[in-house]
Amino acid sequence: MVRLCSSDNKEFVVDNDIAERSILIKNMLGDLGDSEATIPLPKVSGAILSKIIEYMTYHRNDPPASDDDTVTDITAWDSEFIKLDQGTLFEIILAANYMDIKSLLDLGCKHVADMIKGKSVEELRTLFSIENDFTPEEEERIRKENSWLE
Amino acid sequence: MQVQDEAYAEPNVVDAIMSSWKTRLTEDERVKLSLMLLEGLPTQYLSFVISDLTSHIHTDIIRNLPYEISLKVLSYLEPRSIVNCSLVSKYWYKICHDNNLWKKVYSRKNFNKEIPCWNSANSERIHDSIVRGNKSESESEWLQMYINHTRVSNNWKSSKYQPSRVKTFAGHDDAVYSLQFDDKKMITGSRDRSIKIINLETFEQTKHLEGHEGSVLCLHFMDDMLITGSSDQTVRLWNINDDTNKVIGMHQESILNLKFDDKYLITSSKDRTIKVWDMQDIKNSLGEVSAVKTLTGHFAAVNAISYIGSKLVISGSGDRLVKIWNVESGECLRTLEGHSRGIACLHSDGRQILTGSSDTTAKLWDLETGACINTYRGHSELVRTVQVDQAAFVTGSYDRSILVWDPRSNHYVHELSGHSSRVFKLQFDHRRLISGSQDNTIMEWSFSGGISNLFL
Repeated sequence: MVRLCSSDNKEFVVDNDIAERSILIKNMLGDLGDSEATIPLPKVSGAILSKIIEYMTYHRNDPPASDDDTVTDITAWDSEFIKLDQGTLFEIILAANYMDIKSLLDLGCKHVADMIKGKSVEELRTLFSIENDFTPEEEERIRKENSWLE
Repeated sequence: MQVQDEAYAEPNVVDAIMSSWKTRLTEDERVKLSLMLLEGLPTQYLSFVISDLTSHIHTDIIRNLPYEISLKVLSYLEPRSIVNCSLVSKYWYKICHDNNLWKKVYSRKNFNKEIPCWNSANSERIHDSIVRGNKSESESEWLQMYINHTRVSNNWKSSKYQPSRVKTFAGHDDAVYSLQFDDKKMITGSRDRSIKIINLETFEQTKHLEGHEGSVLCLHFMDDMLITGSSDQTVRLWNINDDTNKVIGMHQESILNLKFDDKYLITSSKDRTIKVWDMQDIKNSLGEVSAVKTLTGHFAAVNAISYIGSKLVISGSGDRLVKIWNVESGECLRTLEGHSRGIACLHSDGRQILTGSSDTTAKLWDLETGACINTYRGHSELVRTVQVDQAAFVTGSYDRSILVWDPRSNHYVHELSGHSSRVFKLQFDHRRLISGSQDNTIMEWSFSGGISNLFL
């Protein structure tokens, strides 16, 4: 068993094989040896860590992450899991990156990409609350630049 | 009336309540309380609350994530989607033009399937040479390459583009029967019995070779080694550097086609046979050598051959048949039937075979299974010259026209008319097509009009 401590001092006790889905934790455990010490995760809040543990628990028996960038389909469970509000999704992606959980980072990024797919520029600005900082002339120039795809 | 003490401020009730909320109430209780407070508010306030909250919920995730992670997100998008994103904001524009992003997008796209005769190894080479040669050219070379290569590919596939005739060579005194070009030079053979070496850049003659006593019907070169076949029944090997030549072998009639690699030379003749010659013998001998094998089986002139990877020879004959042979054993592996008249030409890219016939059609065959995939009708006379590639194929005919086809459809995309007589030979690479005709001329047609040569 491993003891994980979040940024807001919430403690979670999980099985080693679950915790080691995170390469960060796996490496820390390797450095610590067999000790019972608590692993601090100062960049991850309790709420996010609990979501991440849910993910790691479901995926505890997956084969280790590979380096290739093959785009695999998102499973039904993953797709349900990643249906989050933008704030949580953002935190999950950051935490997955920090904790080095490649499959979760991929899942999060793919989900953001799916949010972007098929949307018009206006829809994207609304979805991500972005103000148009182009002048009409600049917009026109970029439209022209992009015309190669027509 | 009491005077207000301006130096003392009463603690604000709202502030006080709020600070105690945050510490004392659980998240659930806070949600409950918020809803209670909002209940019964006039809708104008509610919509204000909603728009204020929306900006908390919706954030510019691409801008807020670390750059590398945002790049990862964008790398899951199709090029069309990335281009669309570049219009969202200045920040999005910048990240959507990232060179590494487009390198990834580029490598995912298989241009071998999109641009004829394209070898993706070229892309790396071109990219490297641009970056080395001209640092300031563009910050996103991969995007530029992607754009240019997409445009070339569209030029081949879309009838909106008009391939223009850019160069004409009129130095031969009679019909042009054979031609081949590489990156720098073109070699042509004519009914005027001469062979010319032409600078591909300028389309000017750099060399004129004579030796054959008949029409130069076929030729093949690799590096400085040139082999030609003629109606004088001889096969000659030329040294391009010192203009010398020697007869290396003969058939009993005209040599109609030939191909070679490091291992074998294959020749086909009007005498109905195909001969296999050992390249070592040819290189070592001072004069004629004997063929190591003669492939017999056709009942008429063997007009065309294709030679695949030192293993297979594919032959097409006036007897209407296509035969596939094992070079080593000399065995005929398969015979393809389908054309209703003689076969005038064929070409194979190692995957498919394209044949042109006197029946005015071209047929595409699967090399592996021997099945006829499709028949293409567009010419009104004999189909005399063909070249096939997975991205495009081209047919040239006695009817003076050249047709460019999209393998995915039954219709031709481009019709190139310019020759005033029969088209005898053509070759294309990724950006041009060169044709030789009975009208004595050689024409170059461009598929890269308006696109920087730098990226091609």
